[in-house]
Amino acid sequence: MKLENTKAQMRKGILEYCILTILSNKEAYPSEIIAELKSAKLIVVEGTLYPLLTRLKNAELLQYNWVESKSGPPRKYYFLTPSGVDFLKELKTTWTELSAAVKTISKTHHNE
Amino acid sequence: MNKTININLSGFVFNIEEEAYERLKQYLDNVGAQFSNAEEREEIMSDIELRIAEIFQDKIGPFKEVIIMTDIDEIIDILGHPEDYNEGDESIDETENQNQESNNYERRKRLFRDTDNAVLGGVCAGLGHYFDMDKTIIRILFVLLFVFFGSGILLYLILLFIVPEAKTTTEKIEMKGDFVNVESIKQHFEKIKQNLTNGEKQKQFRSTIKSTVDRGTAAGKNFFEIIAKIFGIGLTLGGIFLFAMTLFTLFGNNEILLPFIGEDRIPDLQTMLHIIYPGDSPSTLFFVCLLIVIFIPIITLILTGLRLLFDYRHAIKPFVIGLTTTWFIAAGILFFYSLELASDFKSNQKIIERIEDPILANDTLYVDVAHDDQFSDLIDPYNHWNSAELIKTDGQYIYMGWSELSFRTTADSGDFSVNITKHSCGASIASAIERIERINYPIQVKNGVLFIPPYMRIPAEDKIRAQYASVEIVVPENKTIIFGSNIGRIYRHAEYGPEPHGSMSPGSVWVNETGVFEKNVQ
Repeated sequence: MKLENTKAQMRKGILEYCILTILSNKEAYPSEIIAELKSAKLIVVEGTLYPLLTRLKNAELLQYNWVESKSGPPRKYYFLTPSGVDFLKELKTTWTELSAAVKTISKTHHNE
Repeated sequence: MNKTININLSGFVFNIEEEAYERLKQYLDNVGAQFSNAEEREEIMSDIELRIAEIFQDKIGPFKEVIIMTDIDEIIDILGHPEDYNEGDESIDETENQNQESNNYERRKRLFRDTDNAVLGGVCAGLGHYFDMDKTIIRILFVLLFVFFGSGILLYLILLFIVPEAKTTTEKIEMKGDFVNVESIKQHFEKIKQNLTNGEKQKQFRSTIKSTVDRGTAAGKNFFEIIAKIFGIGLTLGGIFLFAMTLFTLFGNNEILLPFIGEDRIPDLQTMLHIIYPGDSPSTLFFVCLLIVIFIPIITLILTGLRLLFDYRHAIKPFVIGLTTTWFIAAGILFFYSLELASDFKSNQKIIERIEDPILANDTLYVDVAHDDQFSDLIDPYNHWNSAELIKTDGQYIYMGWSELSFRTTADSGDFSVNITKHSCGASIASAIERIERINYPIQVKNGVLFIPPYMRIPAEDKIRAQYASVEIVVPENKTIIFGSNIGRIYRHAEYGPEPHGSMSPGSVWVNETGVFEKNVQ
């Protein structure tokens, strides 16, 4: 098993969760989401985000509006759909449980 | 100075250097190749183009009007290399597939018998899984093949023996597993094409190329597998065809394929072997051996085809060893018989008899061919000479409906002379001569006409040992030959007369004048 693969897989689920979290507070267009994710060091390149947004949208967790921009092309502002909100709720619970579990296990083994 | 071109990105026009354009185009092509779902790809690509347009828009200002190479490099740095795009792939399964691409090919579908859905042995249901076809269609195909000389049954039995039953869950999953099909190979080749074109020039894409090469190797492997499968289908179908044809030839009493055999000729192949091979009744064993020697290679052909088709390594081995051993034993027995047969041809003898009869002293000799009560007076020896239709057996005798009649002129005076040459082979001089003596070829004189027999008869137990009879009539000077109405039964092949010229039709008169036949029209 390659380290890179494991890392990528770990990041994947979290990435979804983070995108949904970002969008739960406000509508955002990709560049904004990217900026947040970049500052959190979750992604390095923007390319990763586009397929993810499209797939979340196709899964009907996200929806978007076209908004005109003064400086350039129109932007897609994404927001959560009701099922996206539910989905995020579920993810949040799972994440809380998981991070607690990981913490507990890491601690136990660290103390040994 | 560099050439620039105009491009339209999401409805915005940009001036871009040609070189930079090429790089951008390759980049977008490569990114596009990452997404397998066409609909998804279109949407993602338009998002990306939109983003690129946005970035370009930021760059263009009063002091910069043209997009150049370094801008593209920057774009790639911001957006990531093509393979980065799939990192956010939400489906873990898909990612696993990509990571373990090479494993995928080893984990492909295998052929098992599906006894859960079986009517008989689960062969058809298993084939249905393997080819992603409805098992009913496969069953119909088998029934159709059965109608074609029963080959469906043979194929079914072979498959029943060599294809293992899917017993464990793993085997059942493998039975229904993913099949490497032409479509997936096509996709691979498309990716290779897209990726290789940009390839080596740009080190940014080095990792892409590496994965491309990996895929290329896999695709190459697939390509050969497809070729092997095509061969497999060819061999299997060819084998089945051969099997059917041979079966048809041996047992179908077919006159086209085995002209010796037929009604009023040699009744069947077994009888034919009997009148050729030595011994009283070795023919059953011999016949079985012959069948084995003929059919095992055909079965092997079908097996090889099936093996290529289904990639079998185990299970088939003991079967093949068994077949090979059987073949060699049968071939050995045939060889033994054939040695005996060959020894029957060691000695080659002939006896010449001279006919004595008062009519030979006449000036004019009437020559005719006796009525053919075994074959037919209507046989045209020009077309049927030595043909398979001219041999038959009734179990007691063998009849051979050919004989040779020839004429020779001589400058001598005196009587006609008629010589019969009989020929046969045998294991020894004595046995050859005994066979010659048993050749029944009676020349008769009736009502002043010399009758040549149209066929010879030999006892069936003598077997066919190159027995042969020919008649030569020597015509002295100034003597005349007149042919009877049935002469054409054995002589019409000489359209041009006893000597180089002239017609030899019934009733024609030939005179030997000064050593040359001349036709005398009455």
